[in-house]
Amino acid sequence: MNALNTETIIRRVAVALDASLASSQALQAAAELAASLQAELEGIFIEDINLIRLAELPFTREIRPASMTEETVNVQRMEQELRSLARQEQQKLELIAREKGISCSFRIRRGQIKAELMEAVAEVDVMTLCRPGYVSEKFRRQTIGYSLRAAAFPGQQARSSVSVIFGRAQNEKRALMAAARLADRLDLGLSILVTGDSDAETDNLQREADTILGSQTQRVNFIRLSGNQVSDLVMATASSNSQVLLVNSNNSLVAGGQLWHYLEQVSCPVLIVREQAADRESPGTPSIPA
Amino acid sequence: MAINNLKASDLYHSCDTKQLRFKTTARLKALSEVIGQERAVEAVRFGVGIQRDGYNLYALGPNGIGKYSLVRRYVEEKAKSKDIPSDWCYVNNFQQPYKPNALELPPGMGQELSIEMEQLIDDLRAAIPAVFESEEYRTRSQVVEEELTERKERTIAKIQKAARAKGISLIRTPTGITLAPIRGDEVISIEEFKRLPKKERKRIKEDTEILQERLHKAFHEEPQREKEARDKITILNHEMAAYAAGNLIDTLRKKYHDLTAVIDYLNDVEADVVEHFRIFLRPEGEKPSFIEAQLTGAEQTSDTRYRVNAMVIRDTNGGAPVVYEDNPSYLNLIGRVEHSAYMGTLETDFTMIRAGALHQANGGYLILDALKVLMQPFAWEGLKRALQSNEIRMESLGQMTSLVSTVSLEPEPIPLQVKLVLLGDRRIYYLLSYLDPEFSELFKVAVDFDDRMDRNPASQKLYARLIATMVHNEKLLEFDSAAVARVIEHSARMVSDADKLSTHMRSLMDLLRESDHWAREDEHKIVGREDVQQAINAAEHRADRIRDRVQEEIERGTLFIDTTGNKVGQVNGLSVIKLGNFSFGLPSRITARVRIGGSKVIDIEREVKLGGAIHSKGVMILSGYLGSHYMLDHPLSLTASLVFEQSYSEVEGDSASSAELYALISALSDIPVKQSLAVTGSVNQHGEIQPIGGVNEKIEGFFDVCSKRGLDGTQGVIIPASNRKHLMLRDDVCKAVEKGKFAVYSVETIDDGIELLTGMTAGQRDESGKFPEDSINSGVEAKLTEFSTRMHAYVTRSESSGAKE
Repeated sequence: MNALNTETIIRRVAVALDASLASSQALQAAAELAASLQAELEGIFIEDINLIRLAELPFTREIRPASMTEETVNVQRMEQELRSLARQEQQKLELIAREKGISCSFRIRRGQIKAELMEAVAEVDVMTLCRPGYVSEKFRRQTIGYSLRAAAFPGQQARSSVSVIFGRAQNEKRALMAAARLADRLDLGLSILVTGDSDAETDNLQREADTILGSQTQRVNFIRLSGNQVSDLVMATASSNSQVLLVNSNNSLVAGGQLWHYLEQVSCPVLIVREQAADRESPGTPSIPA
Repeated sequence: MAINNLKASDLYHSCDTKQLRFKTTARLKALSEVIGQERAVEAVRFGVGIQRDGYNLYALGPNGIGKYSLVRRYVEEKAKSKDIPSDWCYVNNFQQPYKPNALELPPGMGQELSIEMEQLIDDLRAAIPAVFESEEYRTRSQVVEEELTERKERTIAKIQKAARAKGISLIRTPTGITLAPIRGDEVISIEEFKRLPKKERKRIKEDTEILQERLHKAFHEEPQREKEARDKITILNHEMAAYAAGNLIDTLRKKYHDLTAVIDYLNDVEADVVEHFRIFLRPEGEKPSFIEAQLTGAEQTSDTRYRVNAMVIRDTNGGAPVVYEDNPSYLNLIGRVEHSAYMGTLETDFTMIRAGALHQANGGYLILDALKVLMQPFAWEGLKRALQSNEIRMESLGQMTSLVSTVSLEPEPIPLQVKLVLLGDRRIYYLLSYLDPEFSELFKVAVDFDDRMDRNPASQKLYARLIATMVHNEKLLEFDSAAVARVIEHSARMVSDADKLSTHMRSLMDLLRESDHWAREDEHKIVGREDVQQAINAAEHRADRIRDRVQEEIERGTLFIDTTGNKVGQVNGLSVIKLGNFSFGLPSRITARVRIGGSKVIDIEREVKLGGAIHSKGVMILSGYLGSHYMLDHPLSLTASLVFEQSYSEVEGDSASSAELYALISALSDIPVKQSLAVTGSVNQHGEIQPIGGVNEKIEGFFDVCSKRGLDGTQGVIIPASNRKHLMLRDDVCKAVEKGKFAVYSVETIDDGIELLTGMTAGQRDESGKFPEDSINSGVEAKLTEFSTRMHAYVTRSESSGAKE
């Protein structure tokens, strides 16, 4: 892998934070990758403009499922809650950066969540995304089945591999290398989801991947993606028991706008690896871990 | 008049080896019965035989007399014929964990149940996770979960669909969920909303409120649905756990089907396992976190919750237990609840209940040392309470004294049926009888050990067999008959009585062991008389440092003792000093001075508070004797002072009262007393000499002083005639007497003694009531009459001069 280091330098790994359980998992995955590459970890918190707008409307009321109370929403309170969430996420980010011994920065953006995040993808080497939504996981966790099964079988949700989509060997090798690093660090298997159009092309891609990885990564598992549908990808990542999925920023999943559809259906985070190194410094406030 | 110059044979009562009729102890049969303690044996037999409340035993007698051995022997004999009592276990009380239940099981089964419950725990640890990881459980629980999730999602989707149709969307906020009008994927801004026609704004508002109401209703129903789902999962969980546990527990139920208490316990275990199945899903030995414990009430891990604390396990080969508790503290008697530290706090449970001596002895016999019990705080009270209530109620000292009120365990009391034997000296027995009203109720059988037994040919033979038994038990060299005879003679000396033998077994055993030692040192094959004598001498030598020092000071003239010549008003008295187990006699100079006065004999020892009560009594008797013996018609007008010269510690006892009277008589009659003689004996108001203690030590004490200065045949000791039977003097004293170098006289009256001391006639009143002239008594009477006359004249003069004034 050393020969490829200069081509695959990753200086900044970003992660979208929104206080959900999924975003915590994404933060963990991003921190591990940043630590393995000695890259900077950057947290990005999006203040959803839709929430500010609805708070301005005079008749909106919020139902709180936990306490079963109802209250009028106003802008001041909404902004306060968003700032509070941002602070919590920043603290989490700094804590994990300290644990991993890496530097970190944090920034807040305001706008449409998906648009803001896709814009951020262009600014960093790696962007870590998960299912969006401030309370989506908390909301899910309130279902009885989740809590009962979690209590009865603690730790059963553990995944056992890092997955990466590998299409065109030359263009997507950066994602492959990052995935290999992460798998090594987490001591997990590496599942390479090969997207060849034919058997021959698939075989070629496997050979390419083998050549790029050399002998340093163990437990490599090739899975052929049978189609380009999101459902195929969901099936493939589920069967490989993926903890995290890495994908090149040029991949159709990202470029074609199906990413959000995919994220709605899985709980593992997706790391989008830019093909080239980011050429712009982060606008966030850098913080050095103690 | 009965003055006897005793012969050497009177001074030592030898044991005739011919009467013993054996060469060595090897030929003697072991003695199975106890000798010299017939009363005690009878009491023990009665005490261990009677099965009634309060008939506990108190064995009283001095330490070393063999109380423990005798009691243990008879108690063990009785215990063998009794049934083995039950095993006792403590198990968890699942309803009230702080009150563990006691479980009574047939002997030996407590341990079995404990092991089988450990096995059950292991089996459950495998069986319960297995059923919860089964496909059946996964599928059934998933059905419940999905049913709830789908229902919820359907409801939300329905509302979302209805909202979308009206241009409204459900939106999640950081703290909940709300509804807002949208355009595309974006919420319309307030400016845009304001630009809408009024009618449209009204519609949006009304639609939002209707949807909000539906949403609210949907959420409101959610807890009930969740509860229903939770109940279904709980029922499923219990069903699975019951299946896993039931089969395993059934095996135990079959085994213990005739023990109702165990069956009840196993049923409780099954119900609890079903309720708390999650503890078997944790890794072995892992404790729940503090938060988990608080939330689930799972205070205990599976290791402890279902364990059986087999606290008292019986030996199925023996009979009833016989327990001797060497350290009878409160906790060692009643039992204790131990604690262990966990996360900075002390915690405990029923597995940390430890049995006390009462638990171990339950159904049998408990032997305790009375003094040790009384010296341990609360032990006596705890013991009495257990005996009175017939149950062992375990309470910590903190609980008992109400000093600590924190929550602790209150183990279920265990019924108590025990025969308690206290071993102690007589003083403690009589003190307890006097001071503790409950004592007599609880210890109705006094086992009184005698410290001596009669000495006669038959008892000497038995004593020889006792010695042989001890020799064989201790694997000592055999003793020949002369050695045994010497032991018997020393035994008589130990009780200071030629007609008695000591029953103090420890002293006897010590003498035998030490004799064996000296015999081996001298490479003897058999212990002989000289080995026994060496053991006696060595033991005496080890203890007689103080005696040697005092003798040395007498020899050097630091302590004034005359052994030759004659002195007026000065007599050699004899006293005994006891230091630990060693006693020795010493002469003391007693002097008397007389003058005219008001009928007063001043005991200087008493005046300076160095005289004990009995000593003072003896001195006061002297006034009575003088008045009644000499001054029948006149008032006694005498002031006399008596003193133990060079005595710097308390003088107690009346054994010197005859010596003091001799000194007084000498001072009054002005007749000197022989300093070659020493005197012992108490006197009564009639002038009769009464017996005293330590006669052997006293004679030997004066003999040693004289011996060092050189025996000239004039020296000797005057003793009461009633003490002759107590004489067991040292061999060197006897030999000196035999050779006429030293004398031991026995006297019956003061007149006997004064004649020996002065060499003059004491004198008896004749028919006219007068003492013969030139007799001692005549001189005393004349002096006292003179004092009286002068006193009368003095008083008359004083009164007449007072009248003139």
